[in-house]
Amino acid sequence: MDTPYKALTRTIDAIDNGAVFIACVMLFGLMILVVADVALRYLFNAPVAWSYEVISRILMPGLFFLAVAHTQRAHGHVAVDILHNYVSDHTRYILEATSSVLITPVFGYIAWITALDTLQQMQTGAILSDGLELPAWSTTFLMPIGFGLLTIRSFLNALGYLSTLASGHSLIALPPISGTEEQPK
Amino acid sequence: MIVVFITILLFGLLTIGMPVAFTLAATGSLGLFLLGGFDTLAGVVSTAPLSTAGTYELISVPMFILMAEFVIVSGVADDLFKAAAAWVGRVPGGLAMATAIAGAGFGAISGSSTAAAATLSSTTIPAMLKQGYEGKLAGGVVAISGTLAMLIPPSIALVLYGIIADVSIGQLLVGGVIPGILVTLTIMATVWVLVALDPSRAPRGRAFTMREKFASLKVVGPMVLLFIAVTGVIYSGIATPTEASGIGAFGAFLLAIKEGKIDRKTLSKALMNAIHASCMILMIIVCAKIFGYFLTLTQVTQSLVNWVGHLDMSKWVIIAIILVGYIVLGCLMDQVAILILTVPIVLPLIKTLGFDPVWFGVIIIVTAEIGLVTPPVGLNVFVVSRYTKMPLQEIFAGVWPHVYAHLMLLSVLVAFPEIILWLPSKMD
Repeated sequence: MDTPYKALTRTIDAIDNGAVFIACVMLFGLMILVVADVALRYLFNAPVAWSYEVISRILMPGLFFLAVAHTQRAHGHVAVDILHNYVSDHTRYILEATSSVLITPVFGYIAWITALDTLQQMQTGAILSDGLELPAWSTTFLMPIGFGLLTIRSFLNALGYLSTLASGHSLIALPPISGTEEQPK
Repeated sequence: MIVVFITILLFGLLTIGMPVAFTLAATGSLGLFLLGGFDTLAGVVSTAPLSTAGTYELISVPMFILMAEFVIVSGVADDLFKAAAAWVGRVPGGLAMATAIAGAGFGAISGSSTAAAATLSSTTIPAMLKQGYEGKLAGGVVAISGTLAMLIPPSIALVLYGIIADVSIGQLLVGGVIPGILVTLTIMATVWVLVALDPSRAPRGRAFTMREKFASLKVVGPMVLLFIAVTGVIYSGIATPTEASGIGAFGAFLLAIKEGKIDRKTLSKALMNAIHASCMILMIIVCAKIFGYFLTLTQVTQSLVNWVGHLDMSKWVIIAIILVGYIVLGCLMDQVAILILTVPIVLPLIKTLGFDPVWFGVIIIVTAEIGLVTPPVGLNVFVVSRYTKMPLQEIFAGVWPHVYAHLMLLSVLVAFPEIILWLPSKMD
């Protein structure tokens, strides 16, 4: 159990790292594009014609869906953790396991539905109606990637917490409680 | 019946510590399935996440967050406190007042309250403690001053409110200016009273020469430039808030380069922090959208508005109840999550009662500031505690006088809406 789990986690970590790297580049590119658009419009009266479309179709969804699973890994999704301050670590493992087990099928379903949609758009060759006439799948494919990675991460978490509970050996660490990160124990 | 079940499930999952966004996705999806089966659910989840994440106006969120990260990298925030201390450090409680001024200055170039509290902690608390300030006073003033960033433009919270409530983001941001100045003055006045009651809390500092005072001002130049680049261009109508957010991030980036602080490590850290914080907020918005479809189908918001509309109760009593609700929620939950969850339900009520949505936006941000410093989830207090290694209880104790003062100011802002609405009314 131990070795395949760790190997799988390492693989998914690597994929998440790659995805978040692209998201960071997109974030920086977004900043440059917005500034260039404003500057060209005011200085030369020549705005970047495709900026609106590229931002709302590719850069914004891209930086979000490509980084959403990495954010989960970094425990960046805010939670109400008051209860966690008052219960034992064992109970916290039960709570985390419950949470991960419940959310995995939800994200899995969304990933599945959006993947089917993207495939259908690829087959029919649907085109976006705005200026650049991009194929529709070029933006929708981000959804199955984002929710797919979220599903796998949630599944790995669920497996990790449940195995820890079953074996008594910590396979996955508990997330930090607000305000306690970086504090000496 | 389904609404009651889903609401109980929502609170249950939040309580066990499931991330707010995931809770909304899970309960919203289940609610949609129970109401209309897989067809309804698939219809919503196959389109809503992409269209929500691709909302053009939302680029202000990652851009303002990135701007805050670059401002921190540049290190100018540290100099802000030194400059303020050179000018007011000599008066009783001067360093604590300088902290409030530095908090306002930082808030004027950054929209993140926790970033402000973290940055202020690292410079102001060591300086105050070195001069013999009471720990409680020092910790309290830093925690509350950090909240100013949420109110003084650029403010990520106000941008979010604007997007959810479909209210002019430019007017909201400009509307935050005067209340921001008033909150700063209130913090300074509270310090003055605390020190007048017990002068041993804050020993006087040394005097600065005029030469030192003017030399300290060199930091103010780039800060004012950044403020003009964002709030100035929004106020004058030169650029939209969305464009201004990009300009602000780029300006802060140039400032960090000028200060010689940008290298591969600092750049990637700033981008990574910004992407995590943006993703957290966007994920809540995306999942709240799924939950929102469920609420719309149940028509529960409309029923609530009708019910309150027929209540034989003064609108001032209703607004007071709403604000107390926000203060209580603020004690339990993240401010951004509260905004995204509640505004779609509360705003129709506010409009029915005849209140101005711009005014209400600024009011709930001032209210949310209180939630950032009150137990058990006063995030800024955690941040100050983490950076200074001071016990949480000491900072919570130091923050109470500021909470009372803040509540008094809040009632003034509620009673006189013109204070908030005057400046936006002068916009182009």
